Amino acid sequence: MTSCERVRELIPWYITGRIEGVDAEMVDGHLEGCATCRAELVEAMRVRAATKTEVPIGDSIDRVWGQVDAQLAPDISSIDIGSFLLGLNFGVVAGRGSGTVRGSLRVLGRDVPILGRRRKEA
Amino acid sequence: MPDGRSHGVRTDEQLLARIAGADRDAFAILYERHAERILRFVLRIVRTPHLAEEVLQETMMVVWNEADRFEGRSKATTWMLGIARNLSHNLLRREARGTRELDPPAAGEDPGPSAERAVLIESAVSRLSPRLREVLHLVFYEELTLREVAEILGIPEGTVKSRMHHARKALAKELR
Repeated sequence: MTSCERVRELIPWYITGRIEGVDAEMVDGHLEGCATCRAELVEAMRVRAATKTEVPIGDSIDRVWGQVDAQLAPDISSIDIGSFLLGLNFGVVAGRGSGTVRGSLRVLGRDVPILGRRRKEA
Repeated sequence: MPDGRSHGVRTDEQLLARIAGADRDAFAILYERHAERILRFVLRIVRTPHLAEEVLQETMMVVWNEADRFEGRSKATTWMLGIARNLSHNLLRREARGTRELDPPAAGEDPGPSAERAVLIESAVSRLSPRLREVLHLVFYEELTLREVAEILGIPEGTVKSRMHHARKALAKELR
């Protein structure tokens, strides 16, 4: 492979600045003395400028999140048992999909955690 | 839009470790950080917004279900883009076999004069093969290194260089 061919292969990464040190020096040195490869560089820069054009994506991100979030919804919903008069409230939330089990006891408006377990530990 | 709260976790790799423990807030943060990037990459391959959304959704479900399999040998973004890329090609293969309907690319609104060139360029890019479009996107749009692109595409660096060469030559010809 000639040095021109090696340089031309690396030109895209030279343009974006994502080239390794030794290769960058080699391309730099070569471009200084090679008009043909400099023309190649200019052409590649035109192509790059063209591909940087962004296609509008509208509200896709929000819409997909809604669908993903819905798939993560727990399969088992919460059980809530309480007594307003005694100021006691006991609740359990279990998520089969997420492997989450949580429980709480509320006494006179104050939370008392009594259970918290995950299937997979972080 | 996700409203994930920070846990003081900063890196994608740390978020993935939390997602492996079924942390939905961490998942929301990761989504917020990378969904657009993944969507744009997928859109470049499959070209149809509706299908790109489908692939993004599938990708995120794989991330959620398989976060514990991420070993940190590559960057988290490389891992996620690799998943998205594979799912995109699976979808294109299913379409090629005729097992699902191929939606035409969105026509979009009537472009104004300033948008005409963008439409022309997009049309030229769309005539490249999916394999050339993806490499062009990862190098010029994502500005990834040769090694990162090779990891995402699962091909040798030499093949990346040669595909990139073909892609830019084909596009340069179209843009003349």
